[in-house]
This record gives sequence, structure tokens and C-alpha cells, in this order.
Amino acid sequence: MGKRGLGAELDEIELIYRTRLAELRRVATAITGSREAGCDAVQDAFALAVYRRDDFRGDGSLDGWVWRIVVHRSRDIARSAAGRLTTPIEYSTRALAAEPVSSGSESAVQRLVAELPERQRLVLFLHYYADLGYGAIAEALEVSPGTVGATLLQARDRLRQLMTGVSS
Amino acid sequence: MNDSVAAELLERFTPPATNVSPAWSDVLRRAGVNQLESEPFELRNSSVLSPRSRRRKLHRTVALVGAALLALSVLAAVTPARSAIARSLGDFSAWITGLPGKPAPRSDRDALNRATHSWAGFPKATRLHRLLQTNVDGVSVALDGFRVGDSLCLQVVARGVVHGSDQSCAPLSELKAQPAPALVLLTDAAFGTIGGKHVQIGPNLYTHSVRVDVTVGIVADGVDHVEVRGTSGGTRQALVGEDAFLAISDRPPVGYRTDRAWATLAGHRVAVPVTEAPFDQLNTRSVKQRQPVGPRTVQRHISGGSIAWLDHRRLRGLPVPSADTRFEHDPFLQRVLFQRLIVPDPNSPLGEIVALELHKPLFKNQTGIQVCNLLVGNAGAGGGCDQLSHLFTRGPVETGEQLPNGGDQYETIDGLASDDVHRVEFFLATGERIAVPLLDNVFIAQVNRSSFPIRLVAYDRQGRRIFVQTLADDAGGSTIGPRLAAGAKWHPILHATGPNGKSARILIATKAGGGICASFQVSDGSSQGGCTSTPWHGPALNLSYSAFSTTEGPAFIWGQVKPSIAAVDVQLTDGTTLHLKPVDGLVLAALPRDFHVGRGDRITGYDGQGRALARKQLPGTPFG
Repeated sequence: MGKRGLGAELDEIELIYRTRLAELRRVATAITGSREAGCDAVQDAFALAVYRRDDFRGDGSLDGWVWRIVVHRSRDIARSAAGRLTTPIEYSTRALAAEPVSSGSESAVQRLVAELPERQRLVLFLHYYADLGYGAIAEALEVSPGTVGATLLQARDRLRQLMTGVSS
Repeated sequence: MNDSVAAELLERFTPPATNVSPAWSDVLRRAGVNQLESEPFELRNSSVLSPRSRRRKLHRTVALVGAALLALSVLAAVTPARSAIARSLGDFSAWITGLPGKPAPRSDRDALNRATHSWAGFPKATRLHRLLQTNVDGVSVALDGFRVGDSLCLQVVARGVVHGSDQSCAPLSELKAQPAPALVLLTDAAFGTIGGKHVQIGPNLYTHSVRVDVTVGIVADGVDHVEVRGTSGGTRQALVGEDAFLAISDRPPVGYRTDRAWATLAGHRVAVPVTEAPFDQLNTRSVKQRQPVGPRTVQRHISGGSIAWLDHRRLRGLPVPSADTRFEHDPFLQRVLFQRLIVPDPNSPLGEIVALELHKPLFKNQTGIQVCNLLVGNAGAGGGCDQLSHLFTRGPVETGEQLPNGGDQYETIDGLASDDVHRVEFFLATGERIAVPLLDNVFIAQVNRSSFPIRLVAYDRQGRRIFVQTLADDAGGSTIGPRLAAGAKWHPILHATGPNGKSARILIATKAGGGICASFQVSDGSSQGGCTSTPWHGPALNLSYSAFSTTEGPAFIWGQVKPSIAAVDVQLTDGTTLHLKPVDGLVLAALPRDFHVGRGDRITGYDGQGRALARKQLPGTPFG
């Protein structure tokens, strides 16, 4: 979806919803820590996008604008619902014992990712789950593409450190 | 850490969902967007409320997560068209998830948007994609696609030595249920004519044949060949691409009709349902019979009925946009007292205008108010009116069938249901059952014509059947069409010449099983007709005008009358009275020059002793 004029068409938003729903929900699930909350966040985010579609200025892509809303809504839900959701997202900050990811428990994986700073997590989610490029991630997170690249490197490095029990 | 390890870790952190069910309706509901404001029925030109002013601010809190999730799961369960979309060979995912092809030329997009600009429910900027294009016999034929709500539409545009366009739509939900890897939407759209012919088919003599005959449809992913067969024999390959097909017959014989189609997927040739378009107005050739299925009897008898919101003029649905070109000049909506636009399925572009209209009563026992219901869709608006006091006297459901083109493969069934009706269901001849969207006493559904005849069943709140009606395909295609008696011949019985030089005649032939078929033909090429059975069950005076437009009035009046009627007077509002003598129960007369409908012309039928037996006010529809 390229750049366009003022306002977004309803059917364009619907098209993004229908074609990217799986990725959207996966990212939202990763952010909120719950599949149910992730679904709800996406529904809410698209409701907001529909409601505010006239506010879309066309200075970026519509996809980026929608992703931004999804990320914001997911973060809001995660913050508001922390402690009440089925899968808690605030984990111990204790460094994990070194063990291969492939043999680690699911809770260890959860804690490992949760150890990352929020921006690093978001970049990872958008990069791996939504297959977004640096430019699209930059639009979604309102940072520069260079920042995305640097953050992605930092995230991978941080994961490595956490997996080997080395504090940064 | 390398990328694959991070990917593996993240794969385990949030595995992909196994089932992703879209719930777009839920999105719109949360947005506070009246779903009728959204793509399916957007009141762009409403003088009452602007689209933006009807938006409500989003009020939601996380505390409502549970309730929202419940609603989400319910919505996902009741919207089968929006269940998981699997991108695999043989499905229609390209159509389900979007619009194949590339944007059509701007001039074509502009033309579509200009034509639909005032239409309620049409998006203000419909995306039109070019799917296929070819040149035949000096004619450039383009196939375009667009979507309106949950309807997908194909548009054929011809340019060159002949010009024209035609379009046809199907509900998106059909693609999920479609067992064949292709879906025919429109058969035998005709562009241009070739003269010099002299072919008698049925009651008609044809002096022209079609120049370019076009059949179109969509195909599933992976389909690489589509073949169609015509009634003249032989098959022809269709052009296939962009998940669509375009089959063209160049200068086919008179009466040519596409009657079979096949799609080839992964080396397998699969038959695709096609319902042959009628050729003459009587369709006396195609008589393939299918038996209706489903319940035949009611479990509770209902007499009378009403629509409370209409009686009390409550504001259900939406206001009727005043500037919609599809019905602003509709003769049925001239003296409206109250009208609303009801859209039973918010994902469909189809709505129904329900109106109360002031009607000058012919008899003292008439209320003077009639109820009108008009189906409004892409092809325009169509419907009719009846005395309010007559509403539901035949049962708790009043039905109508709409088929804009004979080659349309989807027919629309619409109507009104009384307050006694809780739900409506269709039993298709193919064995499927369809829950028909019903809202504010209006129901609308589209059915593939290959599924006819269908049985409409209405239930009360306790689940008891209170109405059963068998509906044949409106065009007679593959269902219960009329058939002439063996050896029956058409012969003319009436003739008239109008003041504008046009002439008309009525021909009749004996119908199989008793009764007659009648064909009304005008020298300009237009014709109407139908068949009736014996004994006579129709109205006493079943007369109608010949075809007319908003700029040119009809030239003739014709129709059928009860056998006991020996003479008919047609009293026109300009003071002219036409005296007609029925022949074999049929009448025909020329109307005065510059005659226009909508003035309340009165018809009176007399018996042999000159006693008035019946009165009627036009318009009416013979063989309706």
C-alpha cells in the first residue's frame, strides 16, 4: 500500500485487516501476552483506524499507520490488563541460566523475551511475526529506519547475553 | 546470536494461530460506525445526516474485554464467509481476500464512480480492477472486477464498432461454499447486432443476431483452462487470467446460449454450474425439471398480519436518500407519506425501500394508502405496491424475485415479513439450507439459479412453520419453465398500430397441460409474454402498458382478463376511453400520442350483459 492523499478509504483499511489479520493478531498477542487480548487489541485498533480514517494524512503508508495504531492499542491493553490476563507479561528480571533455546522450557522462553526492553521486543515482533522491513517498522514505531536496524541488532545481542546468563 | 535462532525463539514465544477468523463487522460495531454507513450502504447524499456526523466516539475500556471477546466469537461463528482464509490451490482466496488484477484505466473508474455517485450504499470511490481484455471482430472487450460490501461484481465493457457494458454480482459467501473451482456470474451478455437474418424461434421472427456474445466468471487459484459450450454445439476456450475468465462467441447463431462450462484445475476437468439464459421471453425451450425440497406444510396457520413499526411510522433503518438516481423517478414513489431504507445484511449492498404512499382509492373500502417495497441494488431499484389493507392477506410473507439480466446467475429474493415471522429459511433444490437475513420485517437473499426451485419457509418465535412457498427461477432457466403442448404453433390473434408508427401484435400458443402462452410483440423489437394455466386463477383484469421510459411513454396497453369478462374499458385521465374486446381472454390497444403513465388510468371489465365485474387502476403486470 503506497502513499496516498488525505484520509483513508474504509475498504483499504478492511483490505489490510483481511490480508494481514494473522500477522496483526500474532504481533498483538506477543505484545499483550494473551491471544484473547491480542485479538481484542486488533479489533479495537481497527475500530480506531476506521473511526479516525479521515485523520490519515498520507505522509506515510496506510499499512504503517494501521500498524502504529495496533501497536499502541496492544501496549495500552498490556499495561492496563497486566496481572489480569491469562499469561502474565511482566516476568522476573533475573537472568536466565544458559541453556539451548531448543531445550528450554516455554516459561524460560517467555521470560527470555520479556527480559528485552520494550522497543527491542516490538522491533523483533514486527520483524519476525509481520515480516515488516525496516521502513515499515520505523513507521509503525515512529522512529527512523536506522534506529530500527540498530535496535534489531541490540535485541539479538541482548537475547544472546540473556541466554548465556551474561548481564549487559 | 544468528537470525535463525532468534526466529526459533520467537516462534516458540508466540506460535502462529491455527485459526484466524476475521470479524470485520465487529470492527465496525466497535468503531461506532453504523454498518449501513460503511461500504455496503453509505448514505453519501442523505439530506438528514451526513456520514461523518453519524459517527459515534469510541467508548471502550479494557474491562469490557470479556464481553467483547464473547461478541467476537459469536460474530466469527455466524459469518461463514469470514472464516479462516486458506491460501491454497483450488480456493478463491484471491477474491476472498481482495481484488485480483490491476487498477482499471482511470476513465473507466471515473465512469463507474460517476454512475454510482448518488447511490446509497456504494463507496464513494469504488476500486475497479482490470482483469482481462481482448479484441474480437473490431470490438475491444474488457473484463473488470469490483467489490461492494460482501458482493463481488464483474463488469464487461465493449468498445469499438459497438459500445456497451453489463455487470453482474454474486455474494462473496458463495465462494466459501462453492464446490466447483469456477463460478459463472453472467452468461451471454450481448454487444452489437448483425442484420440480414431471418430465423423463426418460438413466436418471434429474428432478423438480427448478436455480434459479440460474452460469458464471464471467476476462477479459483490454479485454474488454467475454462471451456464453455453453447446451444449451437461445440466448446470454446475462454481467456483465463487474474482469477477470472472471459469467454467470447463471435457472431454466434441466432438464439445462441451458453449451457455448459468446465474448469481445469491441476489436470482435472470439472463441470461448473451454468443456468442457461432465456432466449425468448417465454423460455419455452428449456424445461429441465427439478423437484423442490424442504417442508411443504405449515404447523400454524396465520391470518392477517402487520408491521408495527410501519403502522406507527417509527424510524427503523435509514432515511431514503433523495438524490439516488436509481429510484428518484420511480413511479411508485411519487406521493410518499413515509419511507425507510432497510438493509437486512449489513455486509450486502442490497437494501429495500419500504414506503407508505398516498393512493387515490378506486373503491370505498380501500384505505387510500398503499405499501411499496423496492429492492435497491447495483442494477437499480425494482418492486411494487399493494393496498396496505391487502398486506399479508395471502400469508405472513410477501415475496419478490429480481433478475436484472437473463444471463445473471444469481437471483435476488426479497420481501416483507409480518411481525409474526421470527426467521426465514430457504431450502434449495441442491439440498442446502440458507438462513435468510431478516431485519425490521425485510428479508433479502441471493440464490444461484442452479439451486432453484427453492422453498421459502417462515417460522414464528416458537420455531413453528407459519408460511411455506415454492419459488421457481424468475427466468424459468433450469427449473419449472412453461412448455408448449406437443405440436402447438404460435398464431397471431390481435394487432394494433400506434400513433407514432409502431405496431404491435399478440400471438398465442397452447401450453402443455392446459392454458395458453401469449407473446406481445412491438415493431421496435421489444416483447413481453407469459403463460397461464386453466382454470383461470389470475386477477380479473391483468393489463399492463408496453415498455416505456422516463422520456417516452408506452405506445400500447395489453393483457389478459378473466374469461367471464366480455368487454374492457380503459379510461385515461385525459378523458379518452378505449373500448377493448377480449380475444381468447387477451386485449390489446394503442395509446394516444404523448401518453405518459402515472396518472391513474382506470380499467373496468364488463360481462356480456354490460355489468361491471371488476375495476382496476394501472400500473399492473400481465402474467405477473
